[in-house]
Amino acid sequence: MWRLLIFSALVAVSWAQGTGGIFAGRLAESDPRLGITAVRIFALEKKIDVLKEKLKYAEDHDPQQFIHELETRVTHEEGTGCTDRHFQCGGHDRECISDLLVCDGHKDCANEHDEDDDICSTDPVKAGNVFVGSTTWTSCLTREDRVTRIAITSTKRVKFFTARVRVNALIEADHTEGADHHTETDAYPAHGYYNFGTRRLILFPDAGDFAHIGVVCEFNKGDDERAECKLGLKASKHECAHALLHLKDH
Amino acid sequence: MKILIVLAILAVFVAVTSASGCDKLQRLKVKSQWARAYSEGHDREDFSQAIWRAIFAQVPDARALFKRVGGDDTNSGDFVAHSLRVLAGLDIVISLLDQPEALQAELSHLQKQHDSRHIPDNYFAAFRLALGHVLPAQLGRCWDKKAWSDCFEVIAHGVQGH
Repeated sequence: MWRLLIFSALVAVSWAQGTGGIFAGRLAESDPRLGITAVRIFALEKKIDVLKEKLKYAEDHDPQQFIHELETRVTHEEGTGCTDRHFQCGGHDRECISDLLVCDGHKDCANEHDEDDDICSTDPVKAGNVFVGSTTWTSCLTREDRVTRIAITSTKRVKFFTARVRVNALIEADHTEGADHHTETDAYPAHGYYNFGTRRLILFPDAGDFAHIGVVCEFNKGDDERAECKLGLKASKHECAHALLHLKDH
Repeated sequence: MKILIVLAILAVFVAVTSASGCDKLQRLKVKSQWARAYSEGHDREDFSQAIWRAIFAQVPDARALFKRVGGDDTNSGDFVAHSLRVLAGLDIVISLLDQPEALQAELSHLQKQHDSRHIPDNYFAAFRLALGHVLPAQLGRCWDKKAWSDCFEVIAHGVQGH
C-alpha cells in the first residue's frame, strides 16, 4: 500500500515539475504498474547497498576464528603436557614429538597430525609479510613505547630438512630523537628461522643496537596474522621488551 | 729429487694449514655446543633421526650401505640402534678434539671400520650438510657455523683417511 503512495507522490512531483525530468516524463507516459516496478527496483538497490555495508561489518566478526582463538588461548594457558620444543599431536592421543620432526615429510604422530597442511602452512613467514605493533621496553635499552615493524624479506626451506624455514627479515624500530622529539627509524637486517612445531619465528639482528638481542615471535592467537613477540638477550634469554605484532594489510 | 722434497714439504704445509682451520678455541666451542645438541634420552634419538633423514633425503642411494642395520626404515629398532652408535662415535671424537693423540687414535680406529665399505666422498658431504642444518635447529641460537665446518673437516678427513 505504501509503495502505491510513494508512486503517486512521485507522479505528483513529476507533474508538478513539468516534463523536465526524464524519469518523470517516462513515468508519466508509461504504464503505472511499470512505474511501480521501477520504484521497487530502486528500493531493492538501496537494500543491496545496505547489505553490502553489513557484509563489510560481518567480515570483522568471524565466529569460527573467534572460537579457534579462544581454544588456542585456553590451550596455551592449560599447557599441552609436552616439554618445551616438543609438539603436541592433539586429538585424543596426547602424544608429544620433537619439533625436529614436525613437517619434515615423515608422519611421526600416530594421528599424522605433524604433517597436516594447517600445521605446515608457511603463511606466517611468507616473504613480503610485514608485522607491525607497539614495543614496550622493560629493560636492556632505555626506549619509549614505539612502533616496531618486522618485514620478511626472503625465506629458504632446504629440501632435505623441511622442519624449519630459514628467514631473512628487516627489523625496523621507531625511536624519538632530538630536542623536537621527532621520530627516527632504525633498520636492522636479521636472520633466523621459523619452527612449525612451536609456531615460533626467531630472528637475530645481524648488527646495530639489537646485535645481542633475539626476537622470538609466537603465533599463539589461533591465526597466522598475530604474534606475541619477546625481545631478549641472545645469550641469557633475559627479557628486554615485548610486543603484539599483527600482519599489515597489503 | 729436490723438487720432490719441495713438493712433499709443500703438501704437508697445505695439509697443516687447511687443518689448522679448526683451532684450539674452535675445538672447545664445538665441544660445548655439541654437548648441548647431543642432549639426552629421547631427544637424542630424535636428533639422530633428524640427521639421518636429512642424509638419506640428499643421497637416497646411501641407504643401500645400511641394509644390514635396517636402513630402509629409519624408525626401525635396528636403525635407531645404529644411528645412536654413530652419534656415540661422533661424540667420542668431538670429546677428544682437545686431546690430539687420543683423537688421532680414535679417528684411525673409525677409519679402519669405514675403509672396507668404500664410502663415496659425497656421502660425507651429505653428512656434513645434514649436521649443518639439524645442529642449528637443535641449538636454536649460539652456534658457530665456521667452527663446526672447520672441525667437521678434521673429523671427516680422519675417518676418510684422505
